[in-house]
Amino acid sequence: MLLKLLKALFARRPAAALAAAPAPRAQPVSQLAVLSKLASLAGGLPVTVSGKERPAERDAGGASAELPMTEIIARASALASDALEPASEARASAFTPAFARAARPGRGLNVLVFHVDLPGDATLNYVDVKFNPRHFDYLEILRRFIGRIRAHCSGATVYVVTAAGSRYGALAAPDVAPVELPIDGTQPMYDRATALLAYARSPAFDRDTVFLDSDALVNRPLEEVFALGFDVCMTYREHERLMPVNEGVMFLASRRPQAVVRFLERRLATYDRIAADPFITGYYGDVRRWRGGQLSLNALAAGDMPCSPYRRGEIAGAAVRFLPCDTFNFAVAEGEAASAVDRLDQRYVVHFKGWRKYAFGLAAQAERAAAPGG
Amino acid sequence: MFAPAGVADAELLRAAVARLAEAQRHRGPDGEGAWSDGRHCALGHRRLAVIDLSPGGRQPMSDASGRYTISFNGEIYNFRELRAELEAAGQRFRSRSDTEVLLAAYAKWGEAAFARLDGMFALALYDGVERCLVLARDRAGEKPLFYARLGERYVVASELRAIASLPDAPFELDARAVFDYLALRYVHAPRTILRGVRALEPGTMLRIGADGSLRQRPYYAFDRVVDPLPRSPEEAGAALEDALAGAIERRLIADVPLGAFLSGGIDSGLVCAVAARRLGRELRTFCAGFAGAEEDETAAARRTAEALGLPHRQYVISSDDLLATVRSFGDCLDEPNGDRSCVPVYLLAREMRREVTVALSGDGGDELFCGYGRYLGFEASRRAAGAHDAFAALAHYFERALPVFAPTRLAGLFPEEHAAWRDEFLAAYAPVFMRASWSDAQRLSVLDFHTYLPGAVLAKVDRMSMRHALEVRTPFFDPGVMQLAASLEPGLCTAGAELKPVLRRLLGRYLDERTLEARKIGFGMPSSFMQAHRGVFEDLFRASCEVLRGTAFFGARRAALEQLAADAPGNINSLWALTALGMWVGSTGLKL
Repeated sequence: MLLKLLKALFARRPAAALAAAPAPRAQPVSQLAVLSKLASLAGGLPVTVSGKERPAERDAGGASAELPMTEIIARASALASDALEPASEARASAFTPAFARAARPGRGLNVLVFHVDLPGDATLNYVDVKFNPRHFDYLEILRRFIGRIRAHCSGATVYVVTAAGSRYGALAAPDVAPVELPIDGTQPMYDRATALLAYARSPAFDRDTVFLDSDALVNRPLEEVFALGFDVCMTYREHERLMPVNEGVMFLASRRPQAVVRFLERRLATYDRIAADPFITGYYGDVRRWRGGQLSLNALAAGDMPCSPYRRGEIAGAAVRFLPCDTFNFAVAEGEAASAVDRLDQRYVVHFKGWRKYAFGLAAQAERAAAPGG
Repeated sequence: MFAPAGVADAELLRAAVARLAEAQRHRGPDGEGAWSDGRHCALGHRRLAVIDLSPGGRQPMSDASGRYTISFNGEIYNFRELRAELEAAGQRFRSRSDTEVLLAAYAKWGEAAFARLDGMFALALYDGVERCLVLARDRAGEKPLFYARLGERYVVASELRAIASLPDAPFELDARAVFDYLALRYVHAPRTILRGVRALEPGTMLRIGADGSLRQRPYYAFDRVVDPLPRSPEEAGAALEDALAGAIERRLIADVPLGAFLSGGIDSGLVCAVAARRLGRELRTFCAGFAGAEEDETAAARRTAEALGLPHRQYVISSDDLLATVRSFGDCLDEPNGDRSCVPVYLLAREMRREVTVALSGDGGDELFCGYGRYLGFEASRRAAGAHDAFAALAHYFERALPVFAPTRLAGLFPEEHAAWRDEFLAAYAPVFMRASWSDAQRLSVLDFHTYLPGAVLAKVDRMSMRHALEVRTPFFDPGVMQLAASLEPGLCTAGAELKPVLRRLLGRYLDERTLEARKIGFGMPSSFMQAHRGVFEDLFRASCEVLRGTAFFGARRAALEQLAADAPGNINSLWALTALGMWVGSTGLKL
């Protein structure tokens, strides 16, 4: 089964992950090496993935159909707004009580993760991302996610935001608070942005908070990031085919909660307008389902691009900073320097994006094999 | 000068611009120009004619449509390539100047034009249709640009003193800037020593809208690559040589005599070597030494020039010359700069200007390729001191490796604020010590690129050279060279006790081992010289302290100033920094 999945993976690798890599000169890391290292990280046991790699499909995704990312972001940026649609306001208000009920006293960080299972036949097939969520066991992934937070962020509380009645309620623990919301499965990314605003408006947002994708594993203590002084901190990468700001890791400081709320309100208001824009939807399709959360952040941050970790900005009255994905939201790609996977311990968050999530299955397989009688 | 709401008396606008231009006459002795739309904007310009000496290059310059008008200081090195691209798109040009290309590039690409420029520049561009003023500054901060809001008007200039020369400008010392200066020896942009006057940060542009709103955005951000693909020193050297040759070739475009700074060091030596050997250009080279100093770089510079077959002039700075300059040095400082090499650079630039109008320099090599001796051993030193986290490591650098006045010493001057200001500064740059894969030398070099380089080094080079209308061009700030430097592995930035190994090996292709191994001495006023003339420097120091006592700012902090004055003589950097501050204040005529 794993071999089959790996073959599927290599046949559908996201072209975007390849384009930025300079022509390898020496010791570029292979896909199998990446998976080996990530599986070892995810499970804590040494894993060596072997097999045959398929040649990269460098043109997969139809590069000729791609628009320059700068053009897309400029369009989205021009749509930036502070006027939240009444429907969005109502939805955020409806979400807030669930966070209020889930709020827990604590001394460490709050970590917010959002995950809903998509309908069984759902696949993502975008210009630069092709993805089938059914290949992955998200309950298992979330268990590892929570384990890493416990290991690195002492005293943290994890809020697992999910759909009402989902299986993720099973993750409940003294330091894990499931928050069940009436998520609309046709617009998960939009509801994720709405939930984040609802959280920031709730009493639960009383501590510094890290918002993470469920496949982003914490790898170092995150508390020290908040010493950099900001209200909102986002992560960015430099890649001409990808949106610079990545939504998967965000830091929200609790020192001025109203500034964070204003930022997230502008973000959601901008999302509303992006989702109604014919140019954007003509290119990406329904961005409430996918892409819109990240695009709305990029729309807000457009005036700070190219991003730098040494500059401060201001968005909607919030002090913002940008930190590079290479250290704070790391997703190693094949073709990069081999040294990259040897220094995973220096990364604050390791992001198992797209095909890298196969490493979770490989880690589980290694654990089963190592177990008594395995 | 830009008045978004308009002015009733256009003559006042023009008179203010004329005053600004006159205050910067030394930067452009070859001509002057002025332009005004009669109601909202007036631009002035002092011209140092370097490319297209004809009237066709005169500024301020408007485009054919009359919509855009620009006043531009500096050079665009890739203007020929941009011109070809614009011509292919149908643009026609009236002159050979880079200014006209810059105007056309903005008309075509808008703000996106700035990221296409390879150059050193500071510009103000007025859009008569949008009724907005756009300011932009080059990537590394070679050319300065200051602006301030005075009532309903915005005033912009290349020099701080020009703005300060405007009548009735209510300037006072900026407390945070004084803190930065005393801790760093320079004021870090966007602050300036005068409250209310801002410095545009390198690599950024600012749009002042018709409604008076300000929108600033970066167009460039230097950073090192994390986990670059490995390459051999030879491979890196070959790539650098190609990039540097292209950069130098573009910087040799001029219709006036060209020369080069040549010290005994690697960076200027490499610039001269590539220019001479790879490009076959016979540059006049210049170096300065100090009469009576125990050692300087003149012997090494002469050896390099001889090995490369380049004409070489050495200027020996006499005690009399140096002391005469030092005594009136406040007038030469546009803003306080405590770098001890300001005076020698000023004197060398004066001598060079007798023979050349443009000079290449090796500035930037140390920050881009890790050349400062203080980088070596830093990691061991900070670890031994227990400085493991990012904030502690940064504090260790500023308080141990680069001491001027330690923040704790400044506590008396700013008892309420100093801790927060210190933390704010450290927080801005703490990410350098959080990044994966970098060596400490790489971390510090990135830090220096963003702080010390524009704040102290490039400010010094620009102001000291432009006092004599000598234009200094720096090949290391070519975008391709910077990109290459940014993608070097730690082992190619420092190798054991060797700094800048890639530059060193590349220079080794042109020079013998003995020339290469010359010890870096630097170009600062030698401490032995200051010691030998101790009485003079003590007099200057006392006079400076007296000036500072007379200011409202320090007058209100008298006890703390006396404490600083008592501490300063224990550290040559502190001594000179306080002296330079007092000399600057005294020379401005401002009631501070």
